[in-house]
Order: sequence, then structure tokens, then C-alpha cells
Amino acid sequence: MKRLIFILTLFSFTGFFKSQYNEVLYKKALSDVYQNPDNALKSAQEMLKKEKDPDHLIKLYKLISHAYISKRDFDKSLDWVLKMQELSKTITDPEQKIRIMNAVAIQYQQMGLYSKTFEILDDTFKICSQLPDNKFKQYYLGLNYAIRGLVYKNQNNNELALEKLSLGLQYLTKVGNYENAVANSSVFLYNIGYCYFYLNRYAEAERYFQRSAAVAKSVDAESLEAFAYKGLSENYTVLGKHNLAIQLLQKAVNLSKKVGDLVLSEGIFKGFADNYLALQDWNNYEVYNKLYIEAKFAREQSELASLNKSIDILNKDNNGKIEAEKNKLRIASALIIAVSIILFIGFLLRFIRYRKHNKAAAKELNRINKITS
Amino acid sequence: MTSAQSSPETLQLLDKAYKSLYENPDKSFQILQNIDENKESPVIRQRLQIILARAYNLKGDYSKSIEQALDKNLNSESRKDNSYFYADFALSQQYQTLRLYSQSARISRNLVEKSGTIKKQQYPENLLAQIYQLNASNFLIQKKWKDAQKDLIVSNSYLKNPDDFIISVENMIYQTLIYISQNQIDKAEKTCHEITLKLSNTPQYIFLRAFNMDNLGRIYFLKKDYPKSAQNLNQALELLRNSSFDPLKNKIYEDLSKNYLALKNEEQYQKYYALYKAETDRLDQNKKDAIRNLIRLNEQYENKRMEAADRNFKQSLLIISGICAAVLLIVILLSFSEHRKGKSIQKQISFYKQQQTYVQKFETQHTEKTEKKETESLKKPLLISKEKENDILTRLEEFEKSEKFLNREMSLAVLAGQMETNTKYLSEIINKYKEKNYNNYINELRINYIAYLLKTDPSYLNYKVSYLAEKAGFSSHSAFTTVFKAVTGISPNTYIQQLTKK
Repeated sequence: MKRLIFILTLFSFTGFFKSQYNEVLYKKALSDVYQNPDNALKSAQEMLKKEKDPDHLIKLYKLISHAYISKRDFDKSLDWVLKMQELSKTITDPEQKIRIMNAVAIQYQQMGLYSKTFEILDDTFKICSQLPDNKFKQYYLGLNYAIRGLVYKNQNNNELALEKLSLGLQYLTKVGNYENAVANSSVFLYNIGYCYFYLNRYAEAERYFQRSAAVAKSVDAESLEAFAYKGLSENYTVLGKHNLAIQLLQKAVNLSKKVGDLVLSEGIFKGFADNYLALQDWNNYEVYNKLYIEAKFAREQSELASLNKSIDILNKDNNGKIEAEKNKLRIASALIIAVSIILFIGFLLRFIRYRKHNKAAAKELNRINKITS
Repeated sequence: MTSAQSSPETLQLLDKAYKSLYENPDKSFQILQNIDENKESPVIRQRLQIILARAYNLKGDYSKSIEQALDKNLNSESRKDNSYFYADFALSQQYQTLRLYSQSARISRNLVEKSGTIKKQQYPENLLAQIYQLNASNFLIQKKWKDAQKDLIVSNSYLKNPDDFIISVENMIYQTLIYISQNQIDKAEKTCHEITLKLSNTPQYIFLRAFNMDNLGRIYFLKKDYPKSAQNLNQALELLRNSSFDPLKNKIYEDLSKNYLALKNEEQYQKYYALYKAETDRLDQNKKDAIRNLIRLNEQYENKRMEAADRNFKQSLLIISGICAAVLLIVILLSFSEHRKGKSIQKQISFYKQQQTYVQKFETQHTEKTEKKETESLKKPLLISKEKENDILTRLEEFEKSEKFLNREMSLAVLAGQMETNTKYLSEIINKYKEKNYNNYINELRINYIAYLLKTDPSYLNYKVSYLAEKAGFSSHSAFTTVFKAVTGISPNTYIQQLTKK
């Protein structure tokens, strides 16, 4: 689900890249967020040095914050969200301000800080309501409701989620394709579909998944269309319409090939396995069940990849340091022992010399003693 | 089996809590409440924390599990202590639960490598067997069946006590999982039945029983006997009804939902699928929270490791330099004492030599030798006239033969008065002809005299040193001893002893 929201945030920003700012570099960094967050951080911070445009700044801040989430460094991630919030305060243009605050809200939602999300959403809502009626206002009020809906959905509060998402959808349908509103509305529809699904209202779920797919298709958003089919097929599975479900999954597979989304593939494989199982098609079940288990494992491990890496790096660094320390110890002790041996030999020789000398002297003393006594 | 300072009650409680883990984790909590952590030894504390961690783990409360396993261990323990095996073991277990498999495998591999150094008696829950079991489970995840099998065999080889019953059942369950993964369904089924038989006398271990039933359910599912599979799974679920083994329950929900799907029982499928979905979300959220904690703790853990290495470094360095310094000190001391001995012998030699001449001098009191001195006196130019000089030297010669120097009042001024000269002249002449200052001059005369007396008159040997000191004109015993030693190289007592020996 998180990835979908991520897509949503991307769409909400695609509208206004124009300047000399390097989109290619940004996309490269973005693709590194999960696999190589350190690289993403480095290039984002590099780009940040030359950047003045608040819209771009926000994008970079978000990227950095994301990279830190991927590294599971929530404190640092939060720092950058707070920077975004600071930035929003310095801006007087209400529209720009709302865009930024919206991004902050989504970031908080991703981090699971739901009360913070609501706080920002409330502030945004106030500013938004004071604007004159136009597409911008409609669009951002819609997003505002939808994000609330997603939070409720994350909290398994499907009724409330449904209510907010539907409100959000109403706003979005009024603005045409302003700032990719159509693609976003497909995401809303998909989520509404799942809310109904979880509430066991399968007929409504079916309707919304279908709408989501249709809307996604109208703007050629293939991954969204595939997601919608996946949802629809899951719905059919529950209803026992396994052949229909399999047909939809095949459609989804074709669409998702280009996307390569692990969450989507996992869902699709699971759908196939479940439906073939229900159809007692043992061979296909085994094939897809295996694929599903592998995809699930791969998805889980990819989410943890950056984490594994950072632990490995820390561990390796420390092992290196310990090894270096051991070497240092070897050298230092060799030095100490060498110096000690030299000194030891020196004093030993002195001792022997004195001893010899003393023996001679003692003889002499004895001799004198004999004479004197 | 016990560590020295802990009471048998504590150990019993720990043992009971450990067994309760497999009955109901909540019961373990209750039992462990009776132990006052702060009063116990570090090893007991660690055992307690590991049991607690496991209890939270079985409940699916991963954050708390981590806190127990690591947070407290980190604060209380030094890695030099043998007990860090516990901490590493706990860390590896946590990593595995949180799906950080490569980390878990790295640590468990390390533990297996170091297993030779584990002292068995220090770890009552048979840590060795558990370490091999953990490593086997890591191999299982990596799909290295053969390696997993090998480690399970090693783990089994450590099981000799009746107390190891639980670990042996766990090993059999892992064995079942290996068979299932390798598609050796018949072998898996056989092992499952063996486990059932083995557990028939201990029905209280519901976790193990339910786990086994779940496996049996999976086996029947693979054999396409869905009704029987569902029956086993439902039995397992029924067993767990009143306990809080949430992750295991969730696994059963998943297996049941698949079964009902195969049985085309949509209603039951929906029910269990929904349960599975909700519970998975909840447990995943727990895992995510736990991972946040783990990251923080891992950093602390690594810091601890570095600190330990650093301490180790300093300690080793200190020990090496200490040993070197001690050895050096010994040889230096030896050399110095020999040096001092040499000095003392040298003094004795010169003293005895001097005494020879002194004795001669005393015995030929009337022989004049002033002429000799005259030739010597040419060595240095003098400001004093020759006559005056000779005059003073003659008087000194007489003074030396007299016993006047024994007078305690005899100072440079008094002597100068007696010689009818001034102190400056006198001191200069003493310095130049006797090659010492006035004090050393008079002290040597006194000591030589006393030494002479001691030697020639045996009755003196019986006197106390303090009398001799007084006789020689010294104000105190200690001053006499010091001066005596400085002149002769030996103490008056030693000198007397030497004389009495002869």
C-alpha cells in the first residue's frame, strides 16, 4: 500500500517541473532510495547545494527524508520533514505553501506518525478553505480528505476511511485532469474498493475496482490499472469466481511487466496460486505458490536490503577497526618488548660487571681483613 | 548445573518459566515476576531476560522481545564475560524473527564457530544445542537443507539430559520442516507422528503440539487430503484458544484459509483469510516497530563491542608493559644493589687500609713525619705562608694523635683557637691536605679511633652502640651509625659482629 501512496505523491508533483533543475539526476537518486540509500542521499545533497526553487527544494527534502526512512533512521528523516515544514512557513504564496504542507503530511503518514499527519492536514485545510474557488482549491481539498482516508485505512478503520476517500474523490472529479487528478482518482477508487472488500461488501468493491481500472486506463497509468485488476481478482476469488479472477490476473501480469513492482507481482502470484488451488489445478498451484513465496521473500528482503546493508557496513567497519586495533597492539607490544629486552640486557650486563667487580673487591677485603686482624 | 551464588528457588523458577513458554507465555511472565532481577547474578539475569524475550516473541510482541533480549543485556554486560554468548544468541534470534536473515546467519555462524569455547555448565538451557538449532534454522531459510540437517544432528548430539526434552522436540519439528521443504512428505508425516507420540505424556506443551498439528495439516494439504488437513488445523487452533501464541495462530489461519479455498468453502475461507490478513498487518507493524528499536540497539551493541575491543587493547597493553616493567625493575634493582654493595666493599677496603696506617700512626706516636707532608704540600699554590702552614700541619698531627677530637664541643672554631689560627686558614688547610671538609675530617678521626678501640680492646665489643657513640663524641646514636657507615661502608653492629667472629 505504501508504494501506491508513493506513486500518488509523485503524481501530485509531476505538474510543475520546468526549470534548469536536473530531472534525470533526481530520477536516478529516486531509484536508488531503496537499493542504495546512501547514494541517493549523496546525490540529493549535492543537488540541494545549487537549488533555490522551493518546489525543487521540497522534492529533494522529501527524497532525503525517504532515503533515511529506507535506512530506518527515523530521527534524521524527521529532521528533513521538519525542514520542509520550516520552509512552508517562510512562503507567503498560499498555493505553494499548501503544496509543501501536503507533502509534509504525506511524509508523516508514511512514517506512521498519524497524529502529526492530521495536525498538518487540519492546518492545510484551513488555508485551503480561504482560497477562492478554483481547481487548485478543489484538488487540494480532495487530497486532504483522501490522505485522511488512507490514514484511517492503515488503522483498519474502514468505514471512516471509506467516507473520507469518497469525499476526496468527489472533489477530484470536479477538476478534470488538473495536476494528474485522474491518475490520483484511480488510486482513490482502488483504495475505496479495498475498504469495501475488507468490509465484506464485495459487490461495491467490484464496482470500484472496475472504475479504478477504467480511470487508470483512460490516462494510460498501467501500473495503476494492474493494481486495480489485482484488487478485482482478489474480490472474485473470495466470491468463488476463480476463472474470472485468473483472467484478470493475466491482464494484470501483462500490464505489470513494464513496472516491475514487487508488491504488485507478489499480489498477482498469490492470486494465481489461490485461484488455481480453488480450481484444484494442482500443477499451476504449485508453480504460482512457489513464485508467490519467492516474490514475498524478495519483497520483504528488498525492503530490508538497505537495512541489512547498513548493519553489514557497521559490522564490517567495526571488524576492520578491531583488526586494526589488534595490529596496533601487536606493533605496540613488539616495541615494548623490544625496548624492554634491550634495557634488560643492558642492566643485566651492568649487573654482571658489578658482580664480578664485587667478587674481586670482596677478595681484596678479605685479604686486608686478614692483615689487619 | 548451577552458578554458585544463586538460590535453588530462583533456578527452579527459571526452569519452570522456561517450560511454561511452551504452555502459555503469559504464565512465564507470572512466574518470572517472582524473581527479583536486581539481586541475581548477571548470568541468571541474562537467562531471565532471554526467557522473557522468547515469551514476548512467541506472543508476537517483537518490540518488547527485543528490549528484553538486548536493551538490558547491553547495559549490564561486558563482552569479556563468558556470558556474551547469551547476548549474541539473543541478537541472532531477534534478527531471524525480524526477517533480517543474513544478520542472523552471520551471528549464529559465528557462535557455532566459537562453540568450542562455551563452558557447558554455565548455560543450563543447553545453549550449545540451541546454538546449533538456531544455525540449522538459518540454513533452512537459506534453503541449504543439507547443512541444516548436519547442524540438527550436532544439536541432537548435545541432548543427553531429560531436561533437554523440549529442545529435542523442537529439533524434530525442524526436521519435519526440512522434509516438507524437500517434498519428502512421507518422511515428514512419519516424524510428525513420532512427535505426537513423544508429546503424549506432556500434553501441557500446547505450543509444540499445535505446531506439530499445523505441520501435519500442511502435510495432509500437500497430500490433497483437505478435510483431514482442516481437521488437524482446527484442532491446533482449538488447543491455542486460550493462549497468546499469536504468530503461530496466524500461521494456522493462513493454512486454514488455503484449505477452505481448496474445499470451496467460501464462507470459512473469507473468515480465515480476513483473520490472517488483519493479524499479518498487525504483526508486520510490530515487526517494523521492533526493527526501529533493533537498529538503535544494534548501534549500541556495536559500540559495546568496540568498547570491549578497546578495553581489551588497553588491558593487553597494560599487562605486557606491566610484565616488562616488573622484569626490568628486578634486573635494575639487582644491578643497583650490586652497585651499592660494591661501593660499600670499596669503602670497607679503604677504611681498613686507612686503619692500617692509623694503627701504625698510633703505635709509632713519636715518629715525626712532617717532612713528607711538605713535599705533598707543593701540589697547590697557597695563599698562606709556608711557615704558618707547617705550623698548623704539625699542630693537626698532634691533634690527631691526641684524643681531643672525641670532645663533643670540638668545632672548627674551637680547633682554630687551639691552633692559634683563624677558621678560614684551618678549613683551607684541612681541605687541601686532608682532601675533605672539617666535618668529614673530624668524623673520620672519631670513627677510626672507635674502630681502633674496638679492635684492640675486646672489652669495647660488649658496650652498647649508644655508649660508643657518646664516647666518640656524637650527639646521637643514629648520627654515629650514619657516620660510621659512611666512613667504613658497614654499620657499627656489623663491624662488631665481624670482630667477635674473629
